[in-house]
Amino acid sequence: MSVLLEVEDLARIHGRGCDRCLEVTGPEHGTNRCRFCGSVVALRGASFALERGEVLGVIGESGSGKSTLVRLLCFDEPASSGRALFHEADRVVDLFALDAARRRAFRDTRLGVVYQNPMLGLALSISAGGNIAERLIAAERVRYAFLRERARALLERTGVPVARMDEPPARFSGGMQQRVQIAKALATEPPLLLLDEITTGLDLSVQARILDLVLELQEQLAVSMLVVTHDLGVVRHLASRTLVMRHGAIVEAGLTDQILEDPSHPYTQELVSAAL
Amino acid sequence: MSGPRHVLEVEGLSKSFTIHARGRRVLALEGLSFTVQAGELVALLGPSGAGKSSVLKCIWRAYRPDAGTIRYQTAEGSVVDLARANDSDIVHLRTRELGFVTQFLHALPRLSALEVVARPLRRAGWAPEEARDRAALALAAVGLPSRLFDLPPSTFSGGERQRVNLARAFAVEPRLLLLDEPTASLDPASRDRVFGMIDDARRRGAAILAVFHDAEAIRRVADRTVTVHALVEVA
Repeated sequence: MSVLLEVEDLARIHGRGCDRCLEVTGPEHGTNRCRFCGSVVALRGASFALERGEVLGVIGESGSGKSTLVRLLCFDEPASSGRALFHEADRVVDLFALDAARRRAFRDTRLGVVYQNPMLGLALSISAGGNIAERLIAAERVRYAFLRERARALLERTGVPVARMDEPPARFSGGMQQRVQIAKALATEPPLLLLDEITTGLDLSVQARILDLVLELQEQLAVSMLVVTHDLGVVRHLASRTLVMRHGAIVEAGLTDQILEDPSHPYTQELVSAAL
Repeated sequence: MSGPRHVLEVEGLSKSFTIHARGRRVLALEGLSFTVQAGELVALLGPSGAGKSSVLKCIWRAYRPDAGTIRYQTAEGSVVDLARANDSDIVHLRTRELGFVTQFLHALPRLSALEVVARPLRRAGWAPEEARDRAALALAAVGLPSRLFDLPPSTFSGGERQRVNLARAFAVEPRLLLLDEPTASLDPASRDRVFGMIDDARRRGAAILAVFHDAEAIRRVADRTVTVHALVEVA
């Protein structure tokens, strides 16, 4: 097994920050707001590795920093400090050292992001096929026949009726919009998918189908995934390993069944006992 | 090489749980040592609550042992201490070499019984067609009627579900099988089938560590027994 992504000491502070910020925030202080300068430490000291083909779960309540982690990794937000190293076959890419154009290129070709809210990942008013084509064009794969064929194949693979590929996702159900988002994320065959609360707000039966789709894709495409969720059931089914976050920090990391059956951090114990 | 080949060598295994909300520490296992050889079934004995399942979970690493070593000899012949191996190595071993059957089947609600068994096979390296055939054979071997193969186990009876669970673990032919009351919900005919599968697994050299609820199962399939003693709680 080999490492795809290495995250080292990643942090994100909203506000001007001061030299006491890290001292007075975090899980042991029960807050991520600095009482001296008012800055919010959304993420601190986050270090982990993701292997090729692995699904790594990230759980925690709202405000724990799990979505911040995703936003930093896909360049939606700048990191305050820390590194993310992406291992390609022949080189290691230091993600936050890339300039804006290279970041865009990296995101277009190496990274797929699926958000809880389809509005963030899709242009709801242009057709499902058009959404996928947009990503392919961004990655400079522009022949029309190719675009259309690829969009058709992707929608088919993710269970969206191909007959509806010319309709805008605004007309689709929530579950179907998530499928289009996943198809779009997969369009350029990225080695890494970031999934942020993708089943939240969906009916239970739709949730199960989306999880099923994710597992199937993971198996067929051997894509690595970071799955962020507040739902322990999602990590139980998808992730072999899981990180637990609270107040911006990773408080526990382990095999998923270990996190669920033998949690050691007080917060993980609380989280697990609340869910069962 | 001569002499017994230990697939598993547990030494001084201890496990406790700290329950932060109650400010309590519960001792589950202390200083347990035993071995399991290739082709051998060792049954764990002890009163209910003594920690028999905890032993299995420590080896599977669903529990993090406090102390002791769990030396496992891999298919390649190297020795890994499961108590200390990193999580990724455990994931890898679980996929290819270790099997765990509990009393409950955890699977995605919509997957068919056949897919529940075939998926881990594909993950372990079988080609899709082979995995499918092999899964069907495994389900037939546990006596699941073929009309149920395409249905999700969530709609099955307890005994049928347990048969899917057993088929899933045995189909991969793990080198080390951990069985936690695998026959508890089965009728006598299915139980005999499972005993037959256990015999087959032993013949191909699997090491098996098991907890059974009934003395007859132990008489029927165990080569040796190891007693787990109940411990008292620590404040």
